[in-house]
Amino acid sequence: MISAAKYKWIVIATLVALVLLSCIALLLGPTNLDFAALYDSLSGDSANSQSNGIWQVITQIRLPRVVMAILAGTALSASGSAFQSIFRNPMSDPYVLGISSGASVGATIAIVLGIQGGLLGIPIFAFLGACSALIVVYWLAFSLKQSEQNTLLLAGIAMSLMLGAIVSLLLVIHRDQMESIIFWTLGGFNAISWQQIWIVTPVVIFSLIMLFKYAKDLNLLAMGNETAHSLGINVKKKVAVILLISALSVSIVVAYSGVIGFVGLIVPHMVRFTVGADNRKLLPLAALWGGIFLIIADTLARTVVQPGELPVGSITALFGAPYFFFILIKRSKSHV
Amino acid sequence: MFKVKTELLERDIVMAFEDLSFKAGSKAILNTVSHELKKGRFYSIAGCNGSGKTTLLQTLLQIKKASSGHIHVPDYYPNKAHYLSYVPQNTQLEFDFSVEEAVMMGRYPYYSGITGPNSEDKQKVLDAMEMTDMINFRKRSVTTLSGGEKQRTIIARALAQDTPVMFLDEPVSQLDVFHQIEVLKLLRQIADQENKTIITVLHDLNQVAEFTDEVMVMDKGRIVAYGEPIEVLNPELLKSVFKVDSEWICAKDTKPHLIFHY
Repeated sequence: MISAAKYKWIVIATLVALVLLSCIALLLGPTNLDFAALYDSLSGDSANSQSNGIWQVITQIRLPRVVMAILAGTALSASGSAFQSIFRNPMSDPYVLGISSGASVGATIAIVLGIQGGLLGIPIFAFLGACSALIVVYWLAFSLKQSEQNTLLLAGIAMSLMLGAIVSLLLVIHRDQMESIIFWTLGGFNAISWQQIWIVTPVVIFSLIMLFKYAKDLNLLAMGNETAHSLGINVKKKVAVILLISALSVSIVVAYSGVIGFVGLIVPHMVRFTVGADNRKLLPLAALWGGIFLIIADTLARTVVQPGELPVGSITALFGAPYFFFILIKRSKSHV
Repeated sequence: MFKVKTELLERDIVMAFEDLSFKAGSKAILNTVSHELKKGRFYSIAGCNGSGKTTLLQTLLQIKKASSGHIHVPDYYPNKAHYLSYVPQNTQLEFDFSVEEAVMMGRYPYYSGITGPNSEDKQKVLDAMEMTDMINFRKRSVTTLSGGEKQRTIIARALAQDTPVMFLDEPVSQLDVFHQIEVLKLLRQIADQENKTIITVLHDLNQVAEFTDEVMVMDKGRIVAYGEPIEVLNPELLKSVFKVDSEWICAKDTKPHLIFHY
């Protein structure tokens, strides 16, 4: 669709935008800073900076947020691209296998039991919830002895509906904790610490490298199981491996930042409009654009109603849903 | 995997299958079929819906695992995709791959993701697009193509795969008459010029007779007749397999044509 040279320029421009937006995100917030302060603090020259407070705000509060936004956007968008190829459905997202609803049930249980957040607590419950949902969906789909991705998709949808109902039930029973449950469900980066970043980073990087490695296979899977098979792919095995890899990074991101919707659905679309469907070009760029998307969403979330803060998930949904309608209309026009 | 039988090479046989069966539950979709496929020949498979045509192709391709029987090939190929290519009945073209990217997929079994395609890979893709008359569409997105153009793109991908044996499942069933003839002529040309073996499922028995060297007629999971189309597709067989009355007519100076009585 586009030449290699043009693609290279798009990647370079994207990287520049990512760095610039990260810097801007570091400056914006309840305490507005300027570039000089940012330079001082980033160069580690904390003795010269106006006060240790700025250094603290940037390195301990804003920088982890920005890094987590990049990691989450990257993981969700890259996995979204992979899921869409595997399910041959440009409308599927990283949550189709019940990952988000499983995590929500886990987090809700943790909140209801009074387990506090932080490094462990809620994230661990959310991660376990996501994994259990995933295992049940897998077991259901593969015990039917069908390698068709549709079975997985349907099992995932049924699982999501059931888990959603469980969250609603828990909400009704534990009205007193409704606010914290809902806030977690909407997703956000407001309590991200460096320790969490150290846990999430290797998982996300590992899954990205693996997905890039499988880019060719994803292209073939997008053309149909029979085609993929005739071109040397062990479909059942490869689908399981790729889904597990992406599910791992998505569930760890969800565990620490809640359910942030629409990123994994629309970012791959935006990239596909720009560079086409070849996963070798799509995956790296979707990962970067996902990071940018969430930096913007998170910055908006914490600056629009200062000193309050909006959940990032609602911002992405607010912008994502109209764009999704736009995609639907565009698709229906081009498929006449 | 396939079993290697080197003596097939001397007899110019590219694939031989013996007592091949495929069961879905207790139902035999494919019931002890055997046949030998020769190099450079254009085969057709005819039969009613549900007679096992697609299952036979997919079992030979090992997309479906045979319940019993053997498939022999004359030589060892580490990668099956270097020996057999396949044009399925329906290929999904949901995503915005360009025609060139889609055809390049036929070369995926030959290069790694790190090195990328070499000049031979690129040349084979160009040749395949040239042969299928898709070269002017190379930058177009496959989602914007007409049915005939899509089919030609998929055939080009199989051509780029450059395998000695090609399987095509109803390659012309969704095309208009003009493109049906174009595609069948192209397949005939591939068999004649490139010496490739082509096995294709066809429903139009006149096309079977016109373009292919040999027909295998399938009924209830068995090959009930095979050989030169005009001899095999006689009124008695067509009555028993397809439940239709037919006759071959021969107008002056033309090849015989099969007509049906309603």
